[in-house]
Amino acid sequence: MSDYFFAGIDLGSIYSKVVLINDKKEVVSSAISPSGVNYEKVTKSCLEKVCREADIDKEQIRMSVGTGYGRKSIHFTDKSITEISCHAGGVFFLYPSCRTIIDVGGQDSKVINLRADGSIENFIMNDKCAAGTGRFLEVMANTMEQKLEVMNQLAFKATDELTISSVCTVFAESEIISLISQNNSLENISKAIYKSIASKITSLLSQASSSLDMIVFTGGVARNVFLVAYLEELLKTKITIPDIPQITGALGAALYAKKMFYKGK
Amino acid sequence: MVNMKKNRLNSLKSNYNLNILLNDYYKEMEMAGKNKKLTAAVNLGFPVDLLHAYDIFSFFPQSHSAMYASLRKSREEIEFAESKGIPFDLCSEIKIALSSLYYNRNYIVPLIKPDMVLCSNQVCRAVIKLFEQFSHYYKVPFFMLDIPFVPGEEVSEDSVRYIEKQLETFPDFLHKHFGLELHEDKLLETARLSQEVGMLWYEIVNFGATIPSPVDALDLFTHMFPYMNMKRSKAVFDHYTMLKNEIITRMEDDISAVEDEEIRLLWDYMPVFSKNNYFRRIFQKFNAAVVTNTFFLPGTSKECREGTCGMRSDINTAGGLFKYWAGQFSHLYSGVSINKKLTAISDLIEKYSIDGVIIHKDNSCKPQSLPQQELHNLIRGKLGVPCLTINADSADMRYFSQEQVTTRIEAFLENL
Amino acid sequence: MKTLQFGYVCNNVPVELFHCFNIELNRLFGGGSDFSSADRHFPSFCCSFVKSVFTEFKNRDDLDGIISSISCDAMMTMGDIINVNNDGRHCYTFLSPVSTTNKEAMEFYKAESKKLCRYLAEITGFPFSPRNLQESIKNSHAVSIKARSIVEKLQGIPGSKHKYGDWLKFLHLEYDRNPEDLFAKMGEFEHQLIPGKDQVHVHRVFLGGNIFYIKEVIDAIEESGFKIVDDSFCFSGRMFKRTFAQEDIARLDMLDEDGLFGLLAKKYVGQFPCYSRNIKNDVINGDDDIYNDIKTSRAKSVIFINIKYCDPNALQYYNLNKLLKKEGIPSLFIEYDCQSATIQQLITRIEAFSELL
Repeated sequence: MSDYFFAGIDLGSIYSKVVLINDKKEVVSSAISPSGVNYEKVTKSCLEKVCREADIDKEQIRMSVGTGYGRKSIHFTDKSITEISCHAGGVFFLYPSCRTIIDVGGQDSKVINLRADGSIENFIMNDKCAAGTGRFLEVMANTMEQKLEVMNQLAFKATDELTISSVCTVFAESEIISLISQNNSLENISKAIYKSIASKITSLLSQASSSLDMIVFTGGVARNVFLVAYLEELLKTKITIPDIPQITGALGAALYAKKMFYKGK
Repeated sequence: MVNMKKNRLNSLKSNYNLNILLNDYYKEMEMAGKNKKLTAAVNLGFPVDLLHAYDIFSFFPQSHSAMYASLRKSREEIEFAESKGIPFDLCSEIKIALSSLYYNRNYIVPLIKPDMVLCSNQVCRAVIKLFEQFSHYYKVPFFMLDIPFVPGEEVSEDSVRYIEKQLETFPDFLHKHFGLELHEDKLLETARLSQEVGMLWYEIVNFGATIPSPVDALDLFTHMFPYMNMKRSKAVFDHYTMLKNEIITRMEDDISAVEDEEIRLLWDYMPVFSKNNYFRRIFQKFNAAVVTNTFFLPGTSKECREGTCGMRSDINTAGGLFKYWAGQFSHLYSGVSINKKLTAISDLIEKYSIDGVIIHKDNSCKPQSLPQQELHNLIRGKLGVPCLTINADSADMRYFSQEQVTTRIEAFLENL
Repeated sequence: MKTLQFGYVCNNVPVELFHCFNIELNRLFGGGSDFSSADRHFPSFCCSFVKSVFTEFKNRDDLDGIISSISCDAMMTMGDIINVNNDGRHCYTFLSPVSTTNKEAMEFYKAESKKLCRYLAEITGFPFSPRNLQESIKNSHAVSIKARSIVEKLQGIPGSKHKYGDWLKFLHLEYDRNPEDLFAKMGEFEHQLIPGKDQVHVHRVFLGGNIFYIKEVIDAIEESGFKIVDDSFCFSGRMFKRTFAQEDIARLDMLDEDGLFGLLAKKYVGQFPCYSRNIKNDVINGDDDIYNDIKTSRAKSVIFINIKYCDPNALQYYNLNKLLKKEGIPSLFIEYDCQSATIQQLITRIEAFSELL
């Protein structure tokens, strides 16, 4: 039985994620690597890596599902499913009581509402603009010449409330430069940056009229501890973060692969 | 040499009186809502005199957003609206008005239920959608005044006739829905009073042509509101007389809006209300005065610019008046071709001895800002006058980058 | 003399008049990837479709002129800008009313189309003949009727070899033919519609919005398992849904010149609305053209595609959606920007929408 393995491949705009599960739906290994320009190559090397870690042969992967932006550009997967369904599947598997997923990745931020059976009730995605995405955070951190981890720590020490008003990433950047030149502390500016993202997220939640009972936050941006703490305070609720928040989409894809395999069999 | 006085903005004392006037207006609005006086939601491009002749109280649902902006409360309203799924790219005025309509958000100045919705497409078409919503939501009658665009330089007779025919049906509309009768004498009387207020306003904005200018056009802009919308009461009349006298006194005392005026600017489109003081300060730093605005005189005809477009004394019937109004409304600045706008701007440049033009490109107001880029090219190319476009928004400050705007204005003024 | 080629965009232009003067019309759907010339004239938040049409007109040497119509603020500005930067080609601005129902609007439309008629007579040197107009009204009516009969067939045939997308593609390609040729081509298309195998998993979807034919998006919709049953696009559904009245066509020969222009006004002022106009229907209470169409088409879901920065359309959707929610009809709103290729995100949304159903 344990000879059967299933792979989920999530080709995001910035990072590619691969998850390998076995027949018992246990994650045997996973890998994250920058997407770069050659999707096919990156995913293949990721797949090799997870197989090596799991100590299995590539042939033992019975079925694989691709998801994410690049899902159509990889040809060796058996099917492609949108990351919306995959995130839903992955998160629901980990947290069956979850009703709302916030997923903030490199280019997208989205909110997915789940029904009690794990099916999707509704989903909302950001406008094409980069505000409120991982890219926005990256640009801001670069402007501040800080690493993201440091920015989180700084934000916790903020003493004053500053506001970044611009919606546009470029404008926000110049606003930050001017905040710096006005001698505002990096702590306060860091907090303002997170506040700006948080307001985007709460706006999405409100648009989707999501339940706030059990929220799971996925995607790379979920690793920003300050943002999570700030959101919890804002929404007055606890937010759950998976151990590796980036891979829930790939996990969902792997679970779909397994389901498909047994359906077909 | 640093002049300490320069930190003070030489604002009009009449601003205080304007606030009282506006305050009374909003009180009256609240009362009108309570004591069953007929009220009408209108937008720019609808002849409000016609309503006042029937004792109907008129208000602009969108003008509240300007109020919000100047009180710096617009951001939370806009974000609330967006969180309710109101489209993101929409104009901030409509966003604020819609969220108040559907989600019972309390306006700082409460919005009253209109008894009728009177819409003109003169400034913008998205607003038709907003007004349709008002009409459907409150289940009140809707009247559309369709004012055709002027594609070339000439206004076509067909367009004027079309406007006239529509205006002629308005008394029937009021009769049908509210049983109101038209009193021709009162209508003509209202129109004549309005004419006088219009003449006063014309004289006031003309003072800007004096060198140095005694009045700042950004400061003066809000004084347009009574002229555009309020009933021509004694208080309104007195207000403009007071404003006029204040400016005359300033001129007698050699007081100018900006000390040591060196640069004279024309501002196109509405001011950025919540940033008015910021703009005035930055201009003052360069001894620059904004002396006039393209919206001050609504009409684009030569007669309007010369102050001779007034109602002829031989107009003595409602029909004659409608014909006159149709002519006036057919060529308002906001609804004419780029070439016609350019002619108007060229006139202003000459009359007001303008050194440079500032175009306020409003992210919210798509229809009015769409032709501005071309206008910018033509002002520089064809008229040979320096021109600067600044990106902002009349209510949504998320689209305003103060750093960027400061750099642009400073660079522009340094090189004038 | 060479046949004049004119470009036009919106469907409030009385195409029948052009056919009278033997002018060939080219509906502009936009084109070109280099928007730099458009960017010089239009601000960044201008409707990208308008920029795209502007670019297409600039690039197409085969066109002798353009009829710009005052449908929305952006189209209005485009005509204005082409006028200002006149490159020697004809540029005519056709004014049409914003009001959709009243007598005054009809009279105005009549006056404006007569003016257009005089203009066309002048540039072509042909005299106007009411008989030609009768003929071209008849032809244009026949095309509309044929188009609706094709849509009805497409709605009814389960799992047909032809998909609705093929119909949209057909229209996109064949649009510019003269009405007689178009009618014949439509006949061929209709003839090929053979019922296919019944598909179990079809999900009937109605396409709303103001978009032109975008292959990737339409394909993504159909490949995700949707069966498109009707649309309200202005190059198909909106174009053919309201045509001349049958009884008017019957008495066509009895009408004088003024009467014929009256028919044009009746058709175009009362046509299925573009939302930049004043719609007297009440969407809040369920009286709305699109909503009624959705109901009639028995669609189970709605995909509404908006061109980015089209405010009236976005607002209309906002209200329509409230109504659809009440009725339990799921809907998806996507925005298309001709200037930046964000197709991938749109496809993700469409696929996720289908996975959700």
